[in-house]
Amino acid sequence: MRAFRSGQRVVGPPGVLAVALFLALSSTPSAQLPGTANGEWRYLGGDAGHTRSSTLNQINASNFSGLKAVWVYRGDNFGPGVEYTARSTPIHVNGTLYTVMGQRRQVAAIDAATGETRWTFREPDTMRYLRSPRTDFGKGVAYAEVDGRGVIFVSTPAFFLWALDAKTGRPLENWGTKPVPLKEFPKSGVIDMIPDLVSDWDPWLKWKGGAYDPDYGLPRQLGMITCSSPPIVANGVVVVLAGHEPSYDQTRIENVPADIQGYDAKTGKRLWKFHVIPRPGEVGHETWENDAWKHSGNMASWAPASADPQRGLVYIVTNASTYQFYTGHRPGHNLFGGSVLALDVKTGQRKWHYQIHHSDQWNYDIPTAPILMDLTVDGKRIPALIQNTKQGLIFALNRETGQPIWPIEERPVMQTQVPGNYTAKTQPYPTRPEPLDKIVLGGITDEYVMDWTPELKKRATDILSKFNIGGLYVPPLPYPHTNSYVNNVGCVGGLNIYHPPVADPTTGIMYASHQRGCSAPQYLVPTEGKDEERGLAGKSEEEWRGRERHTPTTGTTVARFKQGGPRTGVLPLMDGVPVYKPLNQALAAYDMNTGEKLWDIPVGQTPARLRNHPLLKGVNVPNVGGTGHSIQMVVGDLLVQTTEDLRGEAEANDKGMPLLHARDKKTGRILASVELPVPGQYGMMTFMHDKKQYIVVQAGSARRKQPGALVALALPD
Amino acid sequence: MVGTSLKTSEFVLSLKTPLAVGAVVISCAAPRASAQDAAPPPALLAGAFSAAQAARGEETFKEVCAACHNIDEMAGARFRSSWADQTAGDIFDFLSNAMPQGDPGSLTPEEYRNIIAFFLNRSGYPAGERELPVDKAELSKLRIVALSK
Ligand code: HEC
Repeated sequence: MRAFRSGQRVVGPPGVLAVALFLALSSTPSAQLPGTANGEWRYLGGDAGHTRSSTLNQINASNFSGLKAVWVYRGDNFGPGVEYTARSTPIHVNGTLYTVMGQRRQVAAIDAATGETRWTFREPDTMRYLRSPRTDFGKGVAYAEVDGRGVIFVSTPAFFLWALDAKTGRPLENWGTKPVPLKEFPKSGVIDMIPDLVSDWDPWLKWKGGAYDPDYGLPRQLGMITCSSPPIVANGVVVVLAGHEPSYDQTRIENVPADIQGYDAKTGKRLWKFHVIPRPGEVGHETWENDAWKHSGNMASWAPASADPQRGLVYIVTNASTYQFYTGHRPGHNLFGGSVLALDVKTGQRKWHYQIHHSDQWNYDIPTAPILMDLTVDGKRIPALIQNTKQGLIFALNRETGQPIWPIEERPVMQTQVPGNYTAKTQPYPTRPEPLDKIVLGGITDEYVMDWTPELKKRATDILSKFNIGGLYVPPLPYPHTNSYVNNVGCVGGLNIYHPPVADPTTGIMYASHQRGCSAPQYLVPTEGKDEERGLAGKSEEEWRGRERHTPTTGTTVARFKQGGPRTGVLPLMDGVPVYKPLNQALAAYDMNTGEKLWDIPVGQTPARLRNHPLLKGVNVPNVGGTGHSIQMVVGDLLVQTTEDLRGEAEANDKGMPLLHARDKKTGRILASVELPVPGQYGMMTFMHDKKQYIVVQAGSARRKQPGALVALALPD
Repeated sequence: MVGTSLKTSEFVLSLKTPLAVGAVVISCAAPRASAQDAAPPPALLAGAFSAAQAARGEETFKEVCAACHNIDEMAGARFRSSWADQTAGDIFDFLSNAMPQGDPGSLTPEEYRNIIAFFLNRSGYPAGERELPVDKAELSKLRIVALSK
């Protein structure tokens, strides 16, 4: 076989190219950040760089099909109702898995070999827990060793930070600077982070509505704060991420900024706070025109973070401010929204930032942790950060400096027509690597119009002629509007939190699953000062219990526009057939040393509904993938992969059982498969304990009535 | 600052229309060319769907839609205000063309109809003996009227 020079563009069978590149690269030194040594999985994403990869190889292509489920750990008893999702990837430390479970987000310590519960931890009830828009949504825990003792750190929906003894689950003694003045709370081991968050925030300092109530939390008129992803610990500092009611579910413009806070792992002392909405004199302040920084909030960091302990940096991604779909009250690029932030873990100082999109109003919040690994680009070793997006654009940066590895261009984008609204004139587009799906660059252009039969092509062209076609950053139109077209249509081609990208630091290859989606945004209509009405309007806060995403909007001022108007502006299907060529699910591999896409293959099979569609009779329907999102991790020479069925349908064998595949990580080809008792979802992990390797799949299915669970697989003795 | 300031005492969203279940529900209307047309006078038509149909819709909703939506977040006041003056046919069109996101059109027409029945039921519209019609043109004659007065 001939080895290609890396960086050279080669056309040919993707497998051959991939193998060649793999051989060419395998001589480069390993670049994995700490976390997976000795069969551990210490961070949510395995290593601190969130690559979700392990070099363990006891389980390999030759024995993979012999894997058996050795235990199933169910989440349905961890909350008042059944939860079908399992959002949290467990960590593994020395024979114990730690995770959060179920609707209640309780912490569980699980015997790695048997699945037996070692301990559980449940935060005492508070009103602020009941009010939290994310009572569930737990994505895991953080771990650190403090003076030789293992400590589990959890941040909760109620915005408390707990330090629990990893052996016993008990809150640490002499930890935290001030006891939480609530009856059922222990004297130590827990911090109320709200006072720390608002201690320098003007709206709170000027608040005349009464003293702080630690049971209730922040007054609704000021804001709402919660946690979604776990903290990350690096170099003795617990960095706490913060979440909010999603800004698309709000109608008022005021909220508390989700500032990022650092706590001393050893004492619980608050060390620093980073202003996600820059104050006067701080970098980025000028991106909030009209003094909007004064009332704006949210800007949450709900996706997980990664860290480079050696460089002393944590990497955090952010989302949009309130209100999501109309930004006339906050013109400007709105730093540090939609950004990757590199913060000094000891001081909280911003080392650099990169704004992935300006003034987000498309719900493009960055959904997955930055991936950190070292690359060799044009012969130079580069500490890299790779950021995937919902859009399908892939950003490759030097994680030391924040500089793009390949040029990133600002390109003009469609502008808003909504009176008083603001859209940035341009948005960043990486010139390399190419997006996961190139449709995002120009939208449904000729190349992408459904043309599987001449009749369908004609119908699709007719329909599309009534729409204004764009790619990314397509804004909603006001309703009514005077354009000659019905609506704008845009496309995304990326990923979301529930199918995170992974990477192989030994080769520099990144793997990401993606889905094409083109649609017409819902119109915006004037609010005339009236909130969007929500299901539980008028009900007491107690009645919200267990109903996540039910916090009424925070703030006092209703945004000028909200989503509304008739739903007649949708992009129609043609008797169930899309007007564009669908791509339900594909898995792409990129050599990040060169920025070259190596291969991109459909995952699963075109649904029978489309394959056997009467309008497609006689057509050789291509494989556009199944609808279940692909979930994967790198294990030795394999890409272990499955599909979920919460937001699509999992790939199943002829007995209807979902499958876990061992794919060749060089080509993506399936080498072996094994049945799963429950479809996977969100993520998976692997570890070695007592000389035995396990794979743990996050699992659960509403369609199959199988509650959220962890399924552990191993080879028989 | 732009926007409309509200006194904090008005913070709790008030329903313009008290939830007078049983008052009026879905009204018959001539099919409309577009949503901008003036609404014809509503004729009362209580019980346009059955409880059993709504229950079937709930099952499908839990299996297919609940991964992204909480029913309380889309039914109730929100449903009544966002679909007021549109028809059950408009809801059908929206759902069958756009939902579930990522796999639109993947349910049968029957399943989409059942989900509409479930939405109506959860939004305070009373069930009756009949089921929502199978025929799209018939569905488009059912105009959603804000529960009112
Ligand atoms: C993968 C996530 C996802 C799934 C699954 C999904 N939706 Fe949606 N849905 C969305 C998003 C995002 C929007 C907002 C975008 C828009 O309005 O087009 C939305 C909007 C809606 C709306 C209009 C907004 C409102 O609050 O009234 C309705 C109604 C709706 N969905 C119903 C359904 C039904 C019924 C199903 C199941 C058949 C479903 N959805 C499945 C993501 C999803």
